[in-house]
Amino acid sequence: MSGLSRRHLIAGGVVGLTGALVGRATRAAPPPLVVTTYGGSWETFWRDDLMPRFIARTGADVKLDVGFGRTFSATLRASGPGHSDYSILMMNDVFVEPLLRAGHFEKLDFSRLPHARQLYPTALIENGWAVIGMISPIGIGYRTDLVKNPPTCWRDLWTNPEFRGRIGLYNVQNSVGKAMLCLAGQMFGSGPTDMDAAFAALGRLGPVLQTDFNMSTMMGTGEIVVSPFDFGEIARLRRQGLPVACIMPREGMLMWDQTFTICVNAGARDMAYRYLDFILEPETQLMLAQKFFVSPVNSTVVIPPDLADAVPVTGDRMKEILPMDWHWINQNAVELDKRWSRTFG
Amino acid sequence: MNMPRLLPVLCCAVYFFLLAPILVVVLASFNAGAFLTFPPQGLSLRWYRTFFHNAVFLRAFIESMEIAVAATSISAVIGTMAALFSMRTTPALANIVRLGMTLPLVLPEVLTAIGLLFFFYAMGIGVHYSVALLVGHVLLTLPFIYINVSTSLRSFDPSWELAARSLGASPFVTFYRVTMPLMKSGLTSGCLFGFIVSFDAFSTSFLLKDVGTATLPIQLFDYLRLNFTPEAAAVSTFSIIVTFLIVIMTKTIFGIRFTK
Repeated sequence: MSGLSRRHLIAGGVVGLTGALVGRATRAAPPPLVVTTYGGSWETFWRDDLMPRFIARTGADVKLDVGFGRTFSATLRASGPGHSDYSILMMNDVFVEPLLRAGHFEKLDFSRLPHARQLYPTALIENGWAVIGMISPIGIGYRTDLVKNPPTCWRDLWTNPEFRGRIGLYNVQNSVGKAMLCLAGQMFGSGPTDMDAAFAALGRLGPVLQTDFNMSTMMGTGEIVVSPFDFGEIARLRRQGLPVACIMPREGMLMWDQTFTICVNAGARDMAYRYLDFILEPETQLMLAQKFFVSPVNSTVVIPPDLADAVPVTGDRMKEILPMDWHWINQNAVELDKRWSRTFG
Repeated sequence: MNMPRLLPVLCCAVYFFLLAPILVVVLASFNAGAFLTFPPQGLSLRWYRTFFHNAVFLRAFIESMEIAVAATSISAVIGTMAALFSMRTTPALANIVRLGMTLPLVLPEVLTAIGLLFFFYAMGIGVHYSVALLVGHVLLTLPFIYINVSTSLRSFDPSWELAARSLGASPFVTFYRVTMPLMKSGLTSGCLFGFIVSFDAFSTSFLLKDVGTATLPIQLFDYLRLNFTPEAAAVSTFSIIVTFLIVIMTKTIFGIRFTK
């Protein structure tokens, strides 16, 4: 025992005690409810308004993580199904769909979601494995000062000569870019999966300015005068003084969905259901509509008159949002990516 | 063609193209308008005011500083020990150590980060307690410190240490009074590079950050996905100023001499 000095004993004791204390604390503390949101104004709203309201009502221990679909997908895939740090996730259905098939989420227990009964059918997706909590409908946005003949339908992007060379498009990395392909296939081909017709049609648009997510800057500078645009962003730009408007095309609208899923073996599972129901209740839906100009998914929400121009897509208009087959799109994502690059160089 | 006369012009042109984007960001941060545009629509400090009242950005800034300081400190110890070992061992073994220490520079950062992400989850640690994030940043900063310290030790003669020991100096005193002063400039510049690389690292932080935390580059990225105000430029300018101040402070405190 000559090698075991007093210093060794003290060090060993400290390590052991620390380990025991950490272990005890870890065992004793129930897992927090880990929820997700996006950065910037979304995070601020979640931290300052939404979460305090939820915590005041439930007393939940909530941890907020900020990111987006790609970040959450990478972390979920690395952790494996049933081992996620997240309790409940908010991201677009395009990211949800493959994760759902990989077994990361549980089928929702709608008996725990009383407000789900009030949802528009558009919000009930993936056969009960997910629900949409917010919708940003996408129509055609344009500069009212730079466009003489405003668009009325998607086909105008191809036929109105004053749009030539001044069209903005979300690229294929964005779910709206993918949805735009399906829309072009529907309009010019045999259906939403007719990619030969879709790419040929997009090629006929001529030069377009593409972006992964920020369309507003190009619209603000006048580099583009028309593009697929969500009504909420148009309302924000208009309130900042930019002369823009957005129309609901005859062929139907696209959307960005904020889809909610609960992870398999989620920590604080009960609280995750309470949180999801809190998101779906009319009061929260109205708060979200007022803050982000998103269309409420709860059909009982009445949009106040001062918000009507910013949130025009509600009620029966929700039926005009075109459904997308994200499974087919994800299955063909690599091919779509290649063909997009070939089409636009 | 008179090359010596053209050289300053060429140098100025190179500096202009390198620094012009930074200048654009700095000027855009003083934009009085609501959009992140250049040239600015009027001059104002409103976006700096917004930034200094934004707890989210300030928290991310502190997180970045903490991670960068911790990663650089750990890398300084490991990198210095590895450089000293490389100096004292056989050339063959030194080459193996050199290869190992510089490997994170050879691999794309995002691949290292993905590898670490899966590794830490396989170990059952995941991204908890920022352990994975710290290890990722240590890997990023290690090559810079190792290379700089190794370079400063290139002309080191081991007999100087032997002389100190033979005159009665303990191993610690020998290291502190003989070895350390000789490698100080390499260690300081390595730490400086390491700190800046860690502070600005995106891919590693993006994939390895703990749930509920964010470093400044991640926060900026998340912000810019959905918000296009000049606040992002104000945050970037603040970050540039802090980095610049750290370089000046390091130069003043540790007396690095930049080669002319």
